[in-house]
Amino acid sequence: MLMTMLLVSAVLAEGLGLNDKIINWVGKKYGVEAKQRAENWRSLLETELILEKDKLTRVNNFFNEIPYRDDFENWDNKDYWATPIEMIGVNAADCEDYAIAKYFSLRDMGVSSEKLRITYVKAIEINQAHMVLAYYQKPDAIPLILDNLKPDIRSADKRNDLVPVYSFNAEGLWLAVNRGSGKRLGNASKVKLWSDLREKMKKELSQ
Amino acid sequence: MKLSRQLVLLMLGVITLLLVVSLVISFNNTKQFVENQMVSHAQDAATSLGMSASTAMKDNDEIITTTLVNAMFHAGDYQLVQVFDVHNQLLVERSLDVQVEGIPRWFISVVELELPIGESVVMDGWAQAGKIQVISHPGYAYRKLWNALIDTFKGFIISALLILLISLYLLKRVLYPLAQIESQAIAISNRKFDPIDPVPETIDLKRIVEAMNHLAQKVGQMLKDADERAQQFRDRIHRDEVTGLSNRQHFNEVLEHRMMSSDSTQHGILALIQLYEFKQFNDKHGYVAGDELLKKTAQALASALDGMESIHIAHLSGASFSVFAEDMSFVDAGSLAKTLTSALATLSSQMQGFMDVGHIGVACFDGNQTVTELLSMADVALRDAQSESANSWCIYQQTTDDTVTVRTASQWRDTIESALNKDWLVLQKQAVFRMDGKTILHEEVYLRLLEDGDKSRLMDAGKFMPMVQSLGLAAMVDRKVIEKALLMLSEKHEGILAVNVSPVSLDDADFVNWLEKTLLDMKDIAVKLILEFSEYGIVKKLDRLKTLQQRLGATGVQFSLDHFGRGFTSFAYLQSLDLQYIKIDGSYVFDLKEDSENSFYIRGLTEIAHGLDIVVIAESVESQSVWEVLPKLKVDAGQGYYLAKPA
Repeated sequence: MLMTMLLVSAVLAEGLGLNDKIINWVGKKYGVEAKQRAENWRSLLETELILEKDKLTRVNNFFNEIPYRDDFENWDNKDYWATPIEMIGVNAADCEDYAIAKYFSLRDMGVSSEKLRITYVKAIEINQAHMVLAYYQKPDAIPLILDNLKPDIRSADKRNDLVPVYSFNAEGLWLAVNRGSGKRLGNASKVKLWSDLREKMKKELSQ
Repeated sequence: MKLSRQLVLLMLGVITLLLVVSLVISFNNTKQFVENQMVSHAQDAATSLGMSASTAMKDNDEIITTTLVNAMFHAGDYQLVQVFDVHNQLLVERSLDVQVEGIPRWFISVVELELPIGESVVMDGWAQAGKIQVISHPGYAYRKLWNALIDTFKGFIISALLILLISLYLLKRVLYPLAQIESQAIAISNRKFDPIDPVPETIDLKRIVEAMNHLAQKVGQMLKDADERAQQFRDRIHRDEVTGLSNRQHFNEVLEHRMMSSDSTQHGILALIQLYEFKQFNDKHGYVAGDELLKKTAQALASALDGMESIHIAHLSGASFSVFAEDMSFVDAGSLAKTLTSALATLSSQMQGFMDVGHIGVACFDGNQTVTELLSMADVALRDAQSESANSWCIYQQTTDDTVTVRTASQWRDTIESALNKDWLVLQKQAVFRMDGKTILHEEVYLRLLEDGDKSRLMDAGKFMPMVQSLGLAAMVDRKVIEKALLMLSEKHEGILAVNVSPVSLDDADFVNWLEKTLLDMKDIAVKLILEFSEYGIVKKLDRLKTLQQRLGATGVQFSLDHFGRGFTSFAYLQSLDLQYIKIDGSYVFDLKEDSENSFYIRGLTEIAHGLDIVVIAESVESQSVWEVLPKLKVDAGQGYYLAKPA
């Protein structure tokens, strides 16, 4: 148990650990432009920012640059969760890809997981199930919404086009996934998605 | 410890180790599986409760929240459900002790299950309203673990038993040759040299079996060689080279022993046979034809006398042959002479013109003559025959009055039958001494007949036993003697008694049945009894003796052959008999000297007999000089007048 905790905190402390090797691999697999995007992502993660608000803005803007495309045409899989590396590589993303990429980036830049929630919502204007990243300054605060439909960050009470359905404590799930240490966990489909993501990230980062 | 037992123990050890290892592995796998299941179970519950509570939170209805928690808690297996508000204040809590029926308490206290916490948030619109923590009840996990453990254990015990049974069977098959080797080793020590067949396929065992087979064959060959050497040696000193019969020296020894030895025969007929004008035959036809004629003569005599007991034929020299029939008395002399004459008659065709084949002189021995006297009596008769006519025979007529009462066959029958009925048969004993001259090995029993019941007139067996046999009363007399010997043994006798049994008695099924039953009924006494047979009598009935030995095997009775060496038989049959003693015939012992030819023969015989675990006893030890030579020839014991007389 203690060992697991240590491992998990080590992974969190190291963050995504983008390095030349990964960036070169992206260049080789997806082309020069993709490599440049990966370079840009690394410099974003390495930028020293004091205010969390600035971190939110920069990360939100960086990923909202990537064009939206539906899971189906991009990955031939209705519910495919791309990793941030893949998303930057192919330069296309689905709504959950944006939320996850932003979540991982902010965590990497030092934002506490207690403040971040992945929230399932209904987008009224496009009449679709949608996913956003919510940022809570304090536990009982009204969250800020990082969304690709409206590129700028707005307070949740300014987002009448979204109906919140349910939020995930990302940190709790993160721990649960790590306790499973990559093994498939029975019938927990949500956990399976996170687990998929984590596995894929690990694979790509180690290549 | 037996090899098979060690292997089985080793196997049990390995199986137990496998059991423990597989139990641990299977247990750990199951444990990990149920722990993972508990993780997702707790997380699923927390998430679904979080979603339901979020709806209730919109209305700020704490009652609904509590009800939701109760409903979920009662419907599922949970150890703890907690609801906190956004400031981490505990709002609702439900908990249950860990108690599982049908699973031992120690199991729960020994096996520590990690209890994962499922966590979810409660939302109020965009705002967070609180959080939920759920811990699954480990009862199901414990039960699953326990059952898995029991199932694995049961499965393993069954397969372990199966493996053990199969391997025991295979082991027994593989190790079977070892048991065979064991019985072969025992057989070798019992002088049986059969190889193990088939040779096993296991390489190590195959080599041992082959080595054992080789050893068995070698030892058997060695004994056979020793036997053959001794026989060759005996033949060289005692046999005539041309005819294969006894030579003069041996014949004289035999004659002397039979006639002089105190415990031997009191009857006998000596016949001298001389081919007529053999010298002229030799001159005319050459020595090769002469030798051929001698061989034919020997064969003719032997085949004419075949079937009669206690007959000694010898080639004395040149054209002279002799026959000594020791169980015959003067009443048989005429018929013996006629038999011999007709044997000679068959040779006339060989003689090529010599119509006069030869002559026969017969002399009767009645216990009162010396060897020299008897020989000269026969010689006188031969001269008479030669002067009489061609191919004639003559019996030497006693001129002095005979002091011995002459009886007819019917008189003998009366004498013997009345002796049997009136208990006029008595036993005398002669001790057989070990070479220290003090220790008594056993005592040989001699039968004596009280003439007319008069205790001062003892008739020796040598005098009446030939008549007993020719009257067909041998089995009856033998039975009487054995009964008396057993009675002596059961009354007070401390030692062991050797009883002479007539070989002809073995033909009598009633006698053999009676003997088997009697000895089986008194086993403790039977072990003190030795059944003694004369060698020259029993070699013609070896199968009878073997059958008898098998039937009496359980009684513990011992077997002995006496007058050993009297017949020119091979030693080879000794191996097939189960003998404890052999007694060397007195003709070898009578005037034994160190470094004489007889001493070489005795030395060879003792070597072979000792190889077969047979005790060798010298008969007719009648002088100190003989007694002193015997230890040098490895003889084990002796009997005779020098040591002790029958009494």
